[in-house]
Amino acid sequence: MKKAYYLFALVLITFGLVTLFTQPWQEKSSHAVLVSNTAPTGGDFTLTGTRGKVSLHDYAGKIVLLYFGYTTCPDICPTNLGNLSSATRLLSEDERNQVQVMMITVDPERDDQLKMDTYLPYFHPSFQGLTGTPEQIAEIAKRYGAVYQKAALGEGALGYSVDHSAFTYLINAQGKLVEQLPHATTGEEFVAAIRAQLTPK
Amino acid sequence: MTLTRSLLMTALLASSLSAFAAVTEQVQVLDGYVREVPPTQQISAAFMTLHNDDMSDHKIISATSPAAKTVELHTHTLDEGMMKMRQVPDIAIPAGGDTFLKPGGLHIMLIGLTQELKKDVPISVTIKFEDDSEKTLSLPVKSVMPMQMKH
Ligand SMILES: [Cu+2]
Repeated sequence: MKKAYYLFALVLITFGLVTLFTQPWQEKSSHAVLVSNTAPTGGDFTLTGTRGKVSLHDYAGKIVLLYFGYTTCPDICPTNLGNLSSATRLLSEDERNQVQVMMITVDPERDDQLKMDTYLPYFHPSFQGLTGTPEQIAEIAKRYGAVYQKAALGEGALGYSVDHSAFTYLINAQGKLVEQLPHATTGEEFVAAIRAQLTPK
Repeated sequence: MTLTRSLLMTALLASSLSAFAAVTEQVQVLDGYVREVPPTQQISAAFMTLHNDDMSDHKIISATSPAAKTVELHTHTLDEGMMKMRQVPDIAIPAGGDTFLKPGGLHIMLIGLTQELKKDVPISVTIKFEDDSEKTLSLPVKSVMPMQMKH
């Protein structure tokens, strides 16, 4: 009889350990490495969106979540955009109206506006995709602390992939960069970060 | 005497059987899925948990799928502040252990999709082990979004 209890406890402990060691925090423990030692300054920028020129200052009064990625990104970008999508849908309508998610492509050679406009609405119809010249994008990325480079992809079936940092930059209603959220930040964590910036009315 | 001998024989037989069993019989695949992708996306990835029941280490050396022109074994590493995706020659599954293929890490990359990935239409992926034995999986297509779209 007692034996059964011991066995049950053992199973529980084992399950606990297995759960502990297979949880996503394993991935998160590596996030510290990403934090750059010089604080990025962020700031205003102008690029091209669905309806022509888009500037950060067009969104003054809103909280902007800015991500640098590319549409043929197989895993990293879909994870972050999927979580941003969850966050967007977790917000109330009133909160959602005060938030804009945008992605700047780090692959302007392949990502034209049509591709961006096909890709981003899959995650949420409100998401904005921005393109520009490689020089414009490089300059903005530098100010935000985003880094990227082309990498050969296997046998070349797809040409290349792009290595890139995977932060989401939180910009407040005054256009100031306030926080960088690491890769694989969950929808709930995004919501908490957004709500911390929303002043109660 | 005879009992000891027959026991010994059984043990020998059992061990030789396990030595000759194909690797595909020693490895279980759990919770496999292929990631749903946005329209026009030409690439996706398959994720799964591999469990090795055997007392020896095993590995996947390649994979194929009728749903993609090229299938490669890949991993992601965080290096110089960037998430870098690279091809790997094989994916090891330790004796008695598990290997997790999951977002942000090891994955089976489907390059040049030949069919649309749709929810409820499973994708066939065949993995090949170091002894050339194979396992064909029927993997469900899963969305990256935990919740359904509602608007
Ligand atoms: Cu890959």
